[in-house]
Amino acid sequence: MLTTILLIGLCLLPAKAIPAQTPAYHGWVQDASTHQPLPGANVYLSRSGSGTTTDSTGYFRFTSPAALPNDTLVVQYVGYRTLRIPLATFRNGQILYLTPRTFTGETVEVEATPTDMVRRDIGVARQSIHFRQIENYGTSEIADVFKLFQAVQLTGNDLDGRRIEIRGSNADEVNVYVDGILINQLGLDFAADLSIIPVETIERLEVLKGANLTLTGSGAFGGVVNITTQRPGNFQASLNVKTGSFNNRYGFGRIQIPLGKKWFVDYSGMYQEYRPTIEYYPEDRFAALDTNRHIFTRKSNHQLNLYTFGQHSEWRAKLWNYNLFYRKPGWRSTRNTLLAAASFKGNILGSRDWEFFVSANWNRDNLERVTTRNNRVLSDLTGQQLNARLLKAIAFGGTNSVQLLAEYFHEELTIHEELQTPEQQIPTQDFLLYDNRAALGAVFRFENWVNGDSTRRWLTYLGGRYEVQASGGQYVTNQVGIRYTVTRRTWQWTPYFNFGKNVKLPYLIDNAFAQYLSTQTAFGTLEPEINNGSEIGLEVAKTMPQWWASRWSASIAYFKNITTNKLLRQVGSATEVYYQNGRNVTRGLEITAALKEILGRVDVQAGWIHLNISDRRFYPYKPAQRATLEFRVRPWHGLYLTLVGFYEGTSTAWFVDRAGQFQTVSIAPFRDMDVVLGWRTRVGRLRLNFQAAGYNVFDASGYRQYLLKKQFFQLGVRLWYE
Amino acid sequence: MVRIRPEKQTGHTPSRLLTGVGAVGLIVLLLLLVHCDTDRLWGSRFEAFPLTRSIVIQGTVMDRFQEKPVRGATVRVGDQEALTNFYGEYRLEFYLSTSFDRNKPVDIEVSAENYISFRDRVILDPIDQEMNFQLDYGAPIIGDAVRHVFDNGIAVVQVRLLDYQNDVTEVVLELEYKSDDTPLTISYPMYWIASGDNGIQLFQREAPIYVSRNFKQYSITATFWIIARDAMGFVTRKEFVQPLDQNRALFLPYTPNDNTQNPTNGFDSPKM
Repeated sequence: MLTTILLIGLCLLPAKAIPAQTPAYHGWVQDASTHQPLPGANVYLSRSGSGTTTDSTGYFRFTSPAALPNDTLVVQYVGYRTLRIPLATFRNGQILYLTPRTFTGETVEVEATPTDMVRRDIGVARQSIHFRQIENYGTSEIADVFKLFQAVQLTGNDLDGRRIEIRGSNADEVNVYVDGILINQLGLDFAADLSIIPVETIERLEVLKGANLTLTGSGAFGGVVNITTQRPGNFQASLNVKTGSFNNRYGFGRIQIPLGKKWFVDYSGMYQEYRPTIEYYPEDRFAALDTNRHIFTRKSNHQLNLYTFGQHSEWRAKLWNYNLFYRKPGWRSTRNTLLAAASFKGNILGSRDWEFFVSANWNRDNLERVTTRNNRVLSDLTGQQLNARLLKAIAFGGTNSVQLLAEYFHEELTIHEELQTPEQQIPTQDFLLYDNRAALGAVFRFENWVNGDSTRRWLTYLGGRYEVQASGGQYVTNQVGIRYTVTRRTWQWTPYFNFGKNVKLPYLIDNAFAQYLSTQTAFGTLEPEINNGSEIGLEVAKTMPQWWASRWSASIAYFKNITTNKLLRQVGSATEVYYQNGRNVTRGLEITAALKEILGRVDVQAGWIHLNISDRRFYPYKPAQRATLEFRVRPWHGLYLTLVGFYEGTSTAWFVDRAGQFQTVSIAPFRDMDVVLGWRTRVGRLRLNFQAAGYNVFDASGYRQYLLKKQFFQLGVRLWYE
Repeated sequence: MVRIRPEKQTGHTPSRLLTGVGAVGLIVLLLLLVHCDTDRLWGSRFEAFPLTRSIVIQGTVMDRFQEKPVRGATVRVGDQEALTNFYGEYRLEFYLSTSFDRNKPVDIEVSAENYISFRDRVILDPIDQEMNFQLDYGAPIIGDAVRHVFDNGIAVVQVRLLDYQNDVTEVVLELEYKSDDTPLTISYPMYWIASGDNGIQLFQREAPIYVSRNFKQYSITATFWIIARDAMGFVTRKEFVQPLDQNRALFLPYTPNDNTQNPTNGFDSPKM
């Protein structure tokens, strides 16, 4: 917590124009064993207090107006030993390696714990965002946060949730983990609903792009999103109140209480109500929507976290409740989700590097509606999921290691629906579905310096996963990845390559359909969808300790995903057509570039993606080209400004309509902008943050059908007491 | 400022409290495992009734006034369409996708030739159901027509007309003339002369039995047509054949009338 406070405090320091002679310090922070960059690590000078956090590539740069000669550079990252080196011995551009912590008894720094599973998975293109960036952005809408990511598209609405698509994938092909909980399981169609996550609770949000993730990416042909929430620590209370367009009323509160030296508990609650004004029907996704001013939505979210650590272990428990109430004339829905998760990390009986995770989810969806004949339809859906996994890391041969995984999933769904007429009750739907699957996985990692040269390092991953499903079928997948890093003075080059096979098992509803069809027709059983993906890319970074900018970085990636056995569920006018004979090839080119600290103040980031999808029936509504551009102006005298401009070129959307006709819709290019202006101040132990924001200020979205890119203005006040 | 507080080294014995919590947790977990239905934890089951939500909508389409089935009427529910049979019955299957669970209204349209189309927006019950419709006949109905040829060379035509909506705007008489074998058709607007019971209207028109065109004399033939058009745009045309030697009696005695348009209120009409 101290470091968090320190860093927020740092942001509050009135910054001055940086004179040319001010010493600047820059370098990289990496994991000593895996050589993965550590984004979000705290880097600061212990005496003078200057410091920063590392960006998504593990890079840091800061200036110190008052350099003290015998200062110490401190690098902190939770789960790792704190590194302290005398400033005199530090050379700019140096890579600082942190070794994983073995709980030597230091006070726990409250920072993001990297989910080891994600960190030790196959290396793919990744991008992350830290809570300070989200705070400056000020949004309570998670869809806005994802505008800061390239090659990511958010779709959806209030009822079905916010869905994420990476590199032209479908929403059910992206696995989303929140503190290790796979939230895809909560959805009937296995698509994760990101709107259940209050933005204020996020510590770090990471997007891993690519189909070849062994440990986390089962069935994730698009990639993985890993969200870590803030961990409880020293006493702090905060309150956040916002109001804005669409009659939006938003409140968020959080309190952290330490119970003794080793136990920490925290509660956060969120309440929101508003009128979305847009009527949303799944089949009208591609058409202009009706407006309905009578729709009312209320969301509430409660999270209780418990954290403790022992000599060689840490425990974490989480209780999470999410409520959604949605009402329109003649229709009301109440959704209630309870998630419980517990994790253990550390040594078991003297054996090192174990991780155990278990989560159980219950969700209940009640629906009541009235038809034209004045009959009532009552629908009751209950879902239960259980997920347990065990991870163990073993190091061998000096620099090599293997990460082992055993995982178990249980999912269960019951649906009961009945029609109530004045005379009788007629059951109209009864479902009882359950299935189980288990998986074994391993990622071998071989790495070393090239001929002992500390500027060149190679890294090879070999991953495999065996999965078995109770409803039949067992599948083996395999992944290979290579990374090679060359560091030359101010340059860092990292070419990488990976390829592999990934399998997506049919989920409950699909399996039920297949079972039903096999009794009616010669449909047979469902095969899993198979993806063969390959990617080649290059990441380049250069530090420029010049007055006008400090660093630039760029990346280019070419990828190809060949998906076979793709299942197509096509809603017709009299029936639902269901077939599995598809093969699709998606080819894409993704380019990103970033410039940091232009004139010491502004960060600029841009990204562009081009997609080529061969069978567009399987991947509906994917704009062929997208571009994003972000400007961020760092705090000055407590004032800060964030500008996110995004541009989408002409793109073509396609879909199959109810009559079975293939339709294409051309979307005109548009540009829009989010503007956030805020001011922070401090009164004793109280910190205040005022913020005015406008999202999609020009209301120019070509995506009229989604509320996500509608014009939205908001005023907010945030208060901390510590 | 950050303070790193070094903590007392407690050796390598794990915390007793944590061990206790772990042990209790494990016991609770095992108890839960024994308690729950273990077949659900290792097996699979897919019971879904009914899985596809196609409902059958059926019923009849009747003529409201004549109480007879309307044949060949088109019943459209959403994007599904069916035709009625000889008995006015239809049957269609409609797929209830998830949108309809959100009370998406369905457009219903029933249409048949010469009938006023019926349109509605409904939220369907998720079960097989009967939907009966009654259509209003929209077009004017042309009843009998008589032609009487007077000795002075004038033919008078009277026609009985029924229109349920009572909004006939135009009634036209078309007479066929012939000179040798060259036909000639001349239209004469008819005018209203009387109202009868049950909404029957009487229209009349007189016309010459000989006409001259291009130095030729044309004489009237047995065939004539009545065309009626109403405000809703329905048009009915009916052909009559009445040989000239069969002079029929008129419905009402012929009185020349200057009122060539529809009646005005207070017009004292003679009884039929």
